[in-house]
Amino acid sequence: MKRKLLYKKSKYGFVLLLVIAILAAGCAQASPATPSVEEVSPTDAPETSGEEAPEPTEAVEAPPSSAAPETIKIGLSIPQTGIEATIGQHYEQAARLAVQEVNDQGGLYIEEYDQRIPVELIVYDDQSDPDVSVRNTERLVNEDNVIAMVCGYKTVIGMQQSTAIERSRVPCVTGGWAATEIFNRGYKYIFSTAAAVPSWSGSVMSFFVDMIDAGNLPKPTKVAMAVEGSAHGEDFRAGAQRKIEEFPGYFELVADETFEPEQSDFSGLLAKVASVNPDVFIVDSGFATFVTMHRQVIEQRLELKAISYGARGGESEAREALGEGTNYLLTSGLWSPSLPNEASQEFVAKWSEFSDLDPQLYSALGYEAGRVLLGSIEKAGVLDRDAIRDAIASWDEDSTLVPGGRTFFTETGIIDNPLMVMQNMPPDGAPIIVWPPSDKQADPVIPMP
Amino acid sequence: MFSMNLLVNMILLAGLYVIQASGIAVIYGIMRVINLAHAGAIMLGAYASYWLFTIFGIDPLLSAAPIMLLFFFVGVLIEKMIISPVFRSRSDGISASLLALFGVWLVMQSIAQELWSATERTVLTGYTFDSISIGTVIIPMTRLAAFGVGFVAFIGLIILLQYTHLGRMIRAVAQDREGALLAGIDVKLISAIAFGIGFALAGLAGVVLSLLFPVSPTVGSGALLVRSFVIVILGGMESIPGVAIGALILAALDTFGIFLFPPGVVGAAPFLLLLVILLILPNGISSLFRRVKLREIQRVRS
Repeated sequence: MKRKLLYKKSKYGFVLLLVIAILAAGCAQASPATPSVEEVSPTDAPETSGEEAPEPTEAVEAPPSSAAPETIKIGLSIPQTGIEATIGQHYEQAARLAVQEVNDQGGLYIEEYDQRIPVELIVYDDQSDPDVSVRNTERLVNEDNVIAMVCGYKTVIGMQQSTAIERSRVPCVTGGWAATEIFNRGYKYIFSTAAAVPSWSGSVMSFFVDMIDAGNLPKPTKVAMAVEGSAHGEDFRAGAQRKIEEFPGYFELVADETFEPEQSDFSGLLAKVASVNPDVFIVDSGFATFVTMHRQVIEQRLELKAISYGARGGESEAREALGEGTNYLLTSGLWSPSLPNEASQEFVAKWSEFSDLDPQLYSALGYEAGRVLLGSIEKAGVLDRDAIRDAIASWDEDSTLVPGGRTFFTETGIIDNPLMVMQNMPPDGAPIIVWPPSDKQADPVIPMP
Repeated sequence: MFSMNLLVNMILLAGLYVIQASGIAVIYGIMRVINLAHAGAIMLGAYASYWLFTIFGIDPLLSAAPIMLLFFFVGVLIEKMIISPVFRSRSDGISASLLALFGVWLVMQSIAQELWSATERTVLTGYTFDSISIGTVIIPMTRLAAFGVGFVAFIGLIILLQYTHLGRMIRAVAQDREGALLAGIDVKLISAIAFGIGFALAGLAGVVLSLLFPVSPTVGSGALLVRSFVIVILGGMESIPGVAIGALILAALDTFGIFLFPPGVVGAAPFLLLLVILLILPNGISSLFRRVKLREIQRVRS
């Protein structure tokens, strides 16, 4: 009996030791690779709901400047799997293209070392999961010692990852975050080449104003709106409402609905929309939800004069998933391969050579983010995160691929460029610029057939 | 609000939910195992349908039967190679099987990711965007097809369980495992068959989903998977008719909820209902029928 007890005790002791060993190993793994980043640990990751910027940890310095590092390490945490992976692959390849371009020239010229240093891009899969994106960020900063990052994609991920990045004081440029809630928190290290979401719906509503004035839409135009329940959706709603208030008498908001980000059945929502007989239907959703919802819109034979899913609908993946069902969809144009400016056409040529994917707004804005980040490192001339951050903040370049042709960042860190409106035109459903009149490539087809 | 159109949509949606959830109920009912690989089987079923459609041009409605057969054998294999050894070697077989099946799900996702990447694939048949109009009622063809397949499968399952020798053996194992063993039933074989049936139903759900949604490594998981579990719990874990009732209730909430609740509450409504049902009927709605039946028996006896 005693022996049995002893055996039991020793067994528990062994298990306890094992647990402690595992915990210790876990802590060791979580520990930063260099003393300078010791105060940033995964457990310190702050909540995302806070309005104020988190108090940064001690300044994180680059390795000592006595000898040039072999490579300049850049981090990227992006959805390679999970629900956002379709779009995530564009951002990943865009960052790789930007890095390849630099490395083809021998790397970035860093004045501090008076030499070119190759860039090493370290990529982790965030599995479309905000928590994983935070862990990846900590790993990139603490273990891989990246000097800067290309941030990820998707608002719900950005809400958490941006806080982890800010806390680590790593300069980061993204082409995949556009919700104002990410950029209105006073963060200093997050920048985006994608215009803020309110301007997406705002541009479509401005286009509708012109269509009303031209007699293509009735006055007032009855608007039905549905947005996903997220910061992104709320931004979209705010942008549309702002335009409705700005143009009294032009619009009547007859339905204003919210749906779950991963909702699969929209029969109730669409029945409610149909019951108010709207002229136009504007929606904000993720790509997968857009495909599901638009399929049901077609099946339910909603009679609309115009329909827009914000930035969704112009992708080749959309065409593949919905066929002719994408014809005449309006998209708020953050970028289009048909954009005639030289930088865009140059990008399209480079991308087609580099990637099997079609050039999309995600690839273009992701590439622009990578290009600005790498350019800023060179501009800073030193491998110091704060200096790089300052170089990004003061970045102002003309003749770039973004609509309006100017890449610069406002005080909040987000680009503020004019958007276009595009319409998918048959027979191949290619998105063609239809607004503003100064840039348009074809007349819009409103009401749509 | 309560238009005939919505009512029809609700019934079609319930059909979809039944196909998704019945596989979980069959496996749990007989083996007391929660099949966490269910979503993975749905996803692979959807990809199988996509492949057969893209490569050989076989319509998903025609590929449903062979895919079910294939998935039946895959299910039997998983039961024999993973679940059964786990139960044999561990005293905490149920929780260990949960982890094992979760692992199977992850492996399935990795395989899909490797084979097809994350890009959404679509099965665009000649009738994908077609609808039938009956008065004011618009019935999308794909939904109708999904409902038809689900209905046939559901009736087939009921017939199998209620009116066949195999069904009687399955029910005997579900009611009393040891008793069934004493009566000479090969419980191990029946368990493997039950797991196979559950997997076949998941494969069928995948085929149906491929008609309705883009196919990706996440199809069948997320909100749809959560709904499947809510339905099974609502209906009473092992009851197939209970699953149908649970599916109808959830479909009603999903269809009409937008008219009844404020926007923020619509998404949470199914879970609030689940909470209420669990408080009133901890064993699900089917326990209500059992109670009524018991009272009827007592009344007859007295």
